[in-house]
Amino acid sequence: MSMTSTRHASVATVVLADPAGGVEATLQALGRQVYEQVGVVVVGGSAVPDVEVSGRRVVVRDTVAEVMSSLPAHVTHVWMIREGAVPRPDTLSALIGDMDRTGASIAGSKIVRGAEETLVSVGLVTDAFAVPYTGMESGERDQGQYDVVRDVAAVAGVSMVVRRDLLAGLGGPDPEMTPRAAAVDMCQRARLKGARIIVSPASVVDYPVHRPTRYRWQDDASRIRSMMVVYGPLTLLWTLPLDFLIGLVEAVVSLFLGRWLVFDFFRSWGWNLVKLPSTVSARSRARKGRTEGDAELFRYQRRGSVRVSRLSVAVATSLRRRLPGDDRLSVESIGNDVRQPAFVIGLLALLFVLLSARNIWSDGLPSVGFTAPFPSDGLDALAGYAGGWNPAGLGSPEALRPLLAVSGLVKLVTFNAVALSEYLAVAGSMLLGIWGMTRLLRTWSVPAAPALIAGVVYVAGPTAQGIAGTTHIGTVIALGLLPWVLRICLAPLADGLWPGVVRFAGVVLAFAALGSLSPLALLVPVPVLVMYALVRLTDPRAWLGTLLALIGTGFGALLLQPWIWSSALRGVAKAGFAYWEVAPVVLVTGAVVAVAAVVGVRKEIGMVAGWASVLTGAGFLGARSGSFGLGSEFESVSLAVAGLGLAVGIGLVCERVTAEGIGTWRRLVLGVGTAATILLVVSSLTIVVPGRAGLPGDVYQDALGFTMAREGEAATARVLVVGPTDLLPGDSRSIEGGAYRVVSGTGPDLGEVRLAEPLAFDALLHEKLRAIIAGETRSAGGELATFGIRWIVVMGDSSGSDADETALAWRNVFAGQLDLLSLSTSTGYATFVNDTADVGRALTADFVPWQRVGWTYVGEPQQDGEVFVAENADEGFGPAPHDTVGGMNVVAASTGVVDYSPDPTARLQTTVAAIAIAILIIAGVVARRRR
Amino acid sequence: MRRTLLLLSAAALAFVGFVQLGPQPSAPPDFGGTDVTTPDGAAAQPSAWYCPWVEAGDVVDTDIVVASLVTADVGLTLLDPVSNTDPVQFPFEVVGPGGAGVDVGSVSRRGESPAIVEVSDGPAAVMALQHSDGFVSGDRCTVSVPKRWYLTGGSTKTGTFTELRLFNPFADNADVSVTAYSEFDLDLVAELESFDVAGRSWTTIDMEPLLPFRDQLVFTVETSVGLVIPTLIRSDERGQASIPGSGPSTTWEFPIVTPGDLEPFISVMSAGGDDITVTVDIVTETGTVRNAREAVVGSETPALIPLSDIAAAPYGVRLRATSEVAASVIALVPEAAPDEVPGGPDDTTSTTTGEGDQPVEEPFLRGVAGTVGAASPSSQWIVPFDTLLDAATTVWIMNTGTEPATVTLQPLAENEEPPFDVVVEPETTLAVPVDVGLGIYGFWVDSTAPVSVAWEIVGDRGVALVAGVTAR
Repeated sequence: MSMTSTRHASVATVVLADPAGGVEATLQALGRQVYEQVGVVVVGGSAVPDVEVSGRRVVVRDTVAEVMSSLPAHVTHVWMIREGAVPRPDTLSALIGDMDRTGASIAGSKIVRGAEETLVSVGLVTDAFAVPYTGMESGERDQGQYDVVRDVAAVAGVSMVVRRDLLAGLGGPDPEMTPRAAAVDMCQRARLKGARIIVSPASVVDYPVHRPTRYRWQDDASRIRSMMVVYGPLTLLWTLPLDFLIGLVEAVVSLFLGRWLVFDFFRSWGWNLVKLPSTVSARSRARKGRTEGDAELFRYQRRGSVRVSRLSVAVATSLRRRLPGDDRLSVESIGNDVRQPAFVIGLLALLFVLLSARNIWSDGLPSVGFTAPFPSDGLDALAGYAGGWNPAGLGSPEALRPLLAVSGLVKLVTFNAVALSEYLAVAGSMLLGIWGMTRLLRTWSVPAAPALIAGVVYVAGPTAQGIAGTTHIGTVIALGLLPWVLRICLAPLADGLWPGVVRFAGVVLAFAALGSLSPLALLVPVPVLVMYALVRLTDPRAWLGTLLALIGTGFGALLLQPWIWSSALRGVAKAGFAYWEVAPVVLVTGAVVAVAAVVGVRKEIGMVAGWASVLTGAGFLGARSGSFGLGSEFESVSLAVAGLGLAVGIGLVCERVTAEGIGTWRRLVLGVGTAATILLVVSSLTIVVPGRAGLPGDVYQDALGFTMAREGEAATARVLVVGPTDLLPGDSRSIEGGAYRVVSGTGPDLGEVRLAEPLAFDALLHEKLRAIIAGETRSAGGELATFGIRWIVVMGDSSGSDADETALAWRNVFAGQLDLLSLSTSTGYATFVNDTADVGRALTADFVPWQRVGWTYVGEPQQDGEVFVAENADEGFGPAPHDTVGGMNVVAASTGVVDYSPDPTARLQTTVAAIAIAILIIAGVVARRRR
Repeated sequence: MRRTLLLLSAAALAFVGFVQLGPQPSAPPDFGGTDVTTPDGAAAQPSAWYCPWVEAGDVVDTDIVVASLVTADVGLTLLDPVSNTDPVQFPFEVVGPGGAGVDVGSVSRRGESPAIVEVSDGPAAVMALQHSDGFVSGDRCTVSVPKRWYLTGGSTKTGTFTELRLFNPFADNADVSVTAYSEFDLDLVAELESFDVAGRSWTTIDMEPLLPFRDQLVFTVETSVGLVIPTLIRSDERGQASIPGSGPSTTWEFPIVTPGDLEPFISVMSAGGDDITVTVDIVTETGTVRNAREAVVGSETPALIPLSDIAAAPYGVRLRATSEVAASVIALVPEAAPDEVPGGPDDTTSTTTGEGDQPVEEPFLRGVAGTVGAASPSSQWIVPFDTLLDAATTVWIMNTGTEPATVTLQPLAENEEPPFDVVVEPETTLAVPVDVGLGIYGFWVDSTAPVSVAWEIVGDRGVALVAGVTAR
């Protein structure tokens, strides 16, 4: 090692201006330095007091480069100190001395804050993404524990001495970066040149004020630029994408922690895109003449990602704060937590949810009944909801359900991942449901362990399985939100404007989310809370909760536009037949829990138990109210109410059974109630085996999978599905006592489940089917080809002695046709393929089929050609000119794409709703911070 | 107290829920349209006609004749005996009112190949006539496709053969059950109980190995899945007759039962009822013999009613039954010595028998004929027919009413032919000979009173009886 004597080091001091001010204190401290300085220059400051330091006037310069060019030749070192920093008198001498001893090119001071000498920085390491890491606990005091001169990756930019020649070669700190990032960046660049960087603990600087960067995104942007400047191409190849991903995850997860980082994330990357040319030139300068590679930079890097670690800690802390119990997650308390029943049960619940939905992770949602995979493209679903074309059946301009918009959003967030979005929705809902039940039960001081048990029965017990059995996927997901909606209404409300704003925004958003998943569920909280208020007449929170529920229902419904204006909830409630087939043992155990809760709990909670039992009874009645004209979606929501009441009862029973000082007979009752609870828990665990969160197995992907046998064919045609009503996908239409519906050849997605009101083209199909059924034609293939129907699938068993009569009747309809061919499929369903040559849902005049891609049709452009689109005629189809022939659309084939112009009113309504949601979110976040 | 009230309320709600009833099981759909039964199996309408008994090979030829009142596109589809081979398509046009005949051999000569004839407009009707040097047989094709068919007129007595041709022109496999009845009542044959006829194919069942030595054989053909169009073929050394399937009816009319002066029988089977009394009226060219014969038909016992001893040929028959029956006429060469048989076609090549080592030439009579009747008379008929050079084609019009019927006959020919009128006196049957060689393929029959129409072809090759088609 070459030792360069600095005994006669000549040091010029550069004070880097900071908007937070404090230059006077800094200059005064500089004047007290025992090591003589050649001069003091303030860079970037405008208001410099007329003072002298070491007998020389303070000079002001605009940039470090100007300073460098104006320094006297004998200056060998430059001390860069940030405005506001207060060095101790021996700070500079210690820096110079340690540099001299170690031969370092850059030396940084130990930074402390305040009289308590809280440590701010004693040198830095970084992770691979240039995120600085001090390695210190928050609020750690300086007790000399880090007092050793050592090599570091970088030093804080508050106080550092740099060899003049090195500083000239580096060009100083990057003026585009924030100070801290610029210091790290300069150190990294210096190390590329072979420089040694040390921290000198004997050199202490008091940096009294906490000065965060004004905008967080600037730190991130500077850090990304620093990576791009110093790293080699190979390192950049993995660090940049990974950093982008980490940033995205952080932005999304932070939403749940009450921090809004999405814009920061995009701004930081956007800024770097804009600054890319200057970054490239800075990189060229930095890497020119380098003596070291990336391996040198890795030497002082810690493993993993600092941001991921921080995020994990933040999530854990937040979770711990929300769980019942007084302890916060900390190193000291982890051991205690792990031994707590709540922690163990919580982990088991998490494991249970992950296992219960595992097959949705691998296969996606099953296609059965009213459940279908989310649309393949989230944007399509959103556009469809916002006044676009409703693709169900033969299409319609009728508004889609808000559930489609939700599925579209989830798809977008997951980059249109096939199964991930569905898994997140279902498993996330289950977790939310368990978590929400613990929060709701906290209203009545039920601790975590019994609340978690109640939560598991709530999301997976007999009622939840009943909901899944109805296949109303919206209600399945909404189940997770329902306890949160009640909790947000019943939670204590602090005084003041900001808490009020937070509560209002939260209530409206929660109700809107609930309603968008299941419109009927939106109507649940008000009667539930009215009932609660009636049983707790003197509880003002109950009445306030009712008021909030009314507000939430009203405003939440408004956010469901445009669907809410075009649909009648009455129709939604009446479709199908509500009848929950319940096993007697479930009925008995439910009744036992209800009785045990009402009889066994302490007096002040007894009314809550009574309320819960009434909810259970009312929900049970609703779930079997088909004879009153109510339908299957009403059944699913009623089951949610019954499950809610049952879970509250379970929570109360389990909480009370371990209490002391209970009379013998009451303990007996609670014991029986607990035994019933165990049965319900065991019944809940059964959903782990199929691993579909209780949903039935797939039917239609299996039954219609054969359409994929020929590549591309499925995307050009439709399937006519006939058979017993309960075996058909989603809504169906009836003819002569039989049920039928049309789905895409690729199988129905969630957008196709709900049929709109029939239009002219639907009526034509109905008439054609009537003629086929009546035997007026034996050319069903030709008749159905008009509608793009290539395949016919008869659901149900239509052969053998056990054949379903409905399936058999339908099979015989198509068995007696001349231009259909019978297909042998492994599904066992009778299947026919159209033997007519030209079948397609969009055909050119010369019968070339166009494929359905997303929710549009795409094919070879034909100048002056036409495309016949077998959808209900609508002027919105284009490109122009649009014509209607035989109930279908004829549009120009010139662009190669058939598009649909959305309904402007519906799109405006959607935009208004989206803006309102955004305003509520922002208002909620801002108010939460200010609170 | 309040807790108790709440608990009672919950119990009451749950109880009301508990006593609710589930949805009533929905009735299976009423798709009667697939099972529409026209008792006589055909009606003149634009649709697809199925002709199970078609053959064109080195010995046998078949003519398919389409007669239509309006101009119509016709698509003739001939299935291939080799499975998974595309059928032969032959489109042509009939300029209405007119008719057209297609020699199947000129389109495809693949042996047996049942045909589907799709007619784009109507009223129209289709028939198929098989002929060779040794026989003539045929009947009108079928348009109605019920799930249950009745076939009468079969026999496996010595020297007589009966086959069932089951034609499935449709997409799906048909699960078929054939039930046979004979003079021994229900004849159970395990092989016929449930078997598949693949879509777009056919099968022919020879009854001789399964049910030998039955003087009378009738069948029901039922499909639990899919549909078939059956036809019964009865043959012996003297010829062949094809009798299409039909539905049940309480009345049947056969305008002619004595083609070529053959000996006629009416084969009757019950459509379910027991002890059905069947009464036969003989309708001659001059009048009607009411209640000429009466028979009782059991639910599982067919009847074969001989008619030859009642009146002198030619004559038709009206059958009345106390419950629904299926019926067909079967006309055979009398079992008496040939020289005792009045009239009847004979084979000019003759056969020989030995007497004292000296061969003696005796006329060899040809002819087995059979057809189904008309379930009820009608004012309008389409009668597609065929003519052969060495045979006489005669249309028979039977008026069982009490008023004379003035019948306008519009020839349906390749070229326009003028209509002409005939008068059919009440309770008589009337022969209208057809000129051969004029390209006439049928008649449009428009009557002032309901009549029944059928036609016969009689020649050296043999005899055939063919039912007309009502223009309902």
